[in-house]
Amino acid sequence: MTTGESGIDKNSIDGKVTVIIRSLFGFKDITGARETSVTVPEKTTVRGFLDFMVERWGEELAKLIYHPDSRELHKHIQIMINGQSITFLDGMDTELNEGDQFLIFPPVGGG
Amino acid sequence: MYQGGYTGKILRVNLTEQSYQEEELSYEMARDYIGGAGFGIKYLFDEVSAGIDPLSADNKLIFAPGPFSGTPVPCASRMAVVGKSPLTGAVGMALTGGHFPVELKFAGYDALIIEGASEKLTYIWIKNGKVQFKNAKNLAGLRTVDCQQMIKNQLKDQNIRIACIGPAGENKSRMAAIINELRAFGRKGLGAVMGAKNLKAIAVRGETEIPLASQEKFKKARKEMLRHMKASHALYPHFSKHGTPATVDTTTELGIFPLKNFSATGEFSMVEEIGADAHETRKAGREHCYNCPVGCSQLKLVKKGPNAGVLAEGPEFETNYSYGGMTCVTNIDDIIAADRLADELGLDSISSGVAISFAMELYERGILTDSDNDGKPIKFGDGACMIDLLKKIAYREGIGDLLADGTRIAADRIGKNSAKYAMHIKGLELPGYDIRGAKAHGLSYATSYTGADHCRGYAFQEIFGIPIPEQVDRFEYKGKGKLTKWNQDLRTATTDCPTMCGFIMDMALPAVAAENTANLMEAVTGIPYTVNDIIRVGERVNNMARAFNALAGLTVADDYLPERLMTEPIRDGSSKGHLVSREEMDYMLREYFTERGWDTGTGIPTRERLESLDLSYVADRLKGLKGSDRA
Repeated sequence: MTTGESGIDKNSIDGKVTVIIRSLFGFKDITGARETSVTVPEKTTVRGFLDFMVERWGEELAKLIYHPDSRELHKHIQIMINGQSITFLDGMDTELNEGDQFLIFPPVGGG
Repeated sequence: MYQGGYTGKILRVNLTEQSYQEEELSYEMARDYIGGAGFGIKYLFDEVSAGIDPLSADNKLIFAPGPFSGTPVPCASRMAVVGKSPLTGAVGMALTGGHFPVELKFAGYDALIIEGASEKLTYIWIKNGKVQFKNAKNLAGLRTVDCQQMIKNQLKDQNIRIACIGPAGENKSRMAAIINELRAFGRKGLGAVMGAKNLKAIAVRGETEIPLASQEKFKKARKEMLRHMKASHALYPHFSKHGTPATVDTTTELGIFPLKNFSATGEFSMVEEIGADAHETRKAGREHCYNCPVGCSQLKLVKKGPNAGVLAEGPEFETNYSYGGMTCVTNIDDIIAADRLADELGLDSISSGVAISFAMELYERGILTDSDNDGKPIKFGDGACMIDLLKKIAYREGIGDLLADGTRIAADRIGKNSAKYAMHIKGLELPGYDIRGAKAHGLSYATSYTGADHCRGYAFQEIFGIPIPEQVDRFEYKGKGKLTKWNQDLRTATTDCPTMCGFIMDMALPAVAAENTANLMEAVTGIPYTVNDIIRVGERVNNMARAFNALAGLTVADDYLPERLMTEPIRDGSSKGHLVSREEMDYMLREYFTERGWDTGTGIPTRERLESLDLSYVADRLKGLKGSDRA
């Protein structure tokens, strides 16, 4: 059994909650799909989940979401769980639950 | 006196008398209203009685670029047109880009005021300070692209820039646009006002140089603006390449891409068919407005099928909404063809798409039948039917005659409780965001002086999560009155009056938009501004427009959302369960009126607030309206 920096057991992919990652634009190019289903341990937080994603998709994803020095989330990256911005949940400490839709995107658009 | 930016001249053209005169642009006008929408609304308020019939000769059209148009300020080839809207009965203001805006400046003018009505179909030809009235008999009935080409051929100059109307404007559809190139002063039916004036087109050409007050300050201000544009994570990396259709993907994920006349938002996705990736498969190039380094406008080509060979500049996000989401037409080629057709016919693609989706819902509910449409069905998803209806609207044929006056008037004529399915505010059809999941955006639709208008106070905080001035919960209704005033005044002051591109402001400069405008104004015109001065221009213009609407008979009852959005929650997707209840609307409006310093019951601008904006003469005009004299 190995444990990554995130504290998430890499081999516990058959953990207890299934989360749907919904990715747009540059994120979709990296994850390869608009919708990706993953399984992580219960009580995984957004912070842990992002680390899990970086472990799975590598530095290309890390560059998109983190400041290179501080590993803090870029301010312009939007993360929503079931349509609600994590800012109005528990931020990076928000815990993910079974069936949650995890949306990540840059501020692209205009209409 | 101003030292740059402005030509210093206003051109006033009287179609009834076939005469014209030049007037001087005063320093106070430039300082207090900047240009664009500010100039247009000031002239409208001062010169047009609010109670007039918008399709009478009493209405005026004021075309106004901004002080940056024609200078090396990037992204400033924009122009406002203002008149009383035949669709809403309120202030009609629409903006366009392209090359026509700067050409009017090069022809020597800061604004063009069109008065009266011509007896016969006419076009006007403006070149370097000279105006000619031309018989447009041979242009009658022409679609807009051919009309522009014919005029260029007649005047033997392929570099002339032209704004014109198509069949929809000539037939006075209240959804008619004014078209330049393949761009539009799209909304509020001001093309019908041109039609009612028997004015087919305005052709302009000129060589006037627009001076700068300070080269040194200008270089600094421009460099700073370009730095912000380059630093944007959205502008060049994404928006420049994909344009607005990417917003189909974003709004779908947020559960606010309206579907099926707002009856099925969130219940299915059209991203595969009409999202950003689908558009890439039809991409044929990009277009830039004059002096714009971004070039967001995407050319799309239909490659196969009955519409093969049709090229459109677009469809933009809004057209994907109106001709796609609303009508449930999933064939992207039909949407591209409809977009081009709307430009050719001179129709607003938002309003016309919403009017058609309204008819489709009435058909589905049995309120309209085959017999209302020459024996043919009007079904959701039928692209050929949509294209057929666009032509019928432009030519006022069959059911098109009913729909040509807009959704509100059509609902009144049809009766049978159809108003319940008419998606408009103040008569202006709703744009492409389901505001049950974006409540400041919704409040801005509700209170915009033009009706349901996404461009008068775009809540980028809610749609794109941009945390300026702060992070906003899109589902929350409290606090949205304050935010909406902030968004509206900023938008008016930094894009609509100086006529800068709104996309640039939202994506690259939201934190410094007012500062950027103040710096550029001082560098270009020599008029000193603080950030507060700039915002006050926005507030002044919004107050003046609200005052015009009050005099035109609009009331607080016109500030509410369509019933459907206040009674039916979104049933699925990321905004599931949300609506804007009537109680929430009441609260948001009270909060908004309080922030604006307007009477909280009637929403009428108070004397106190108007005087604080140096608009005591506006307060005098409002005297007698309930709430106007509140201290």
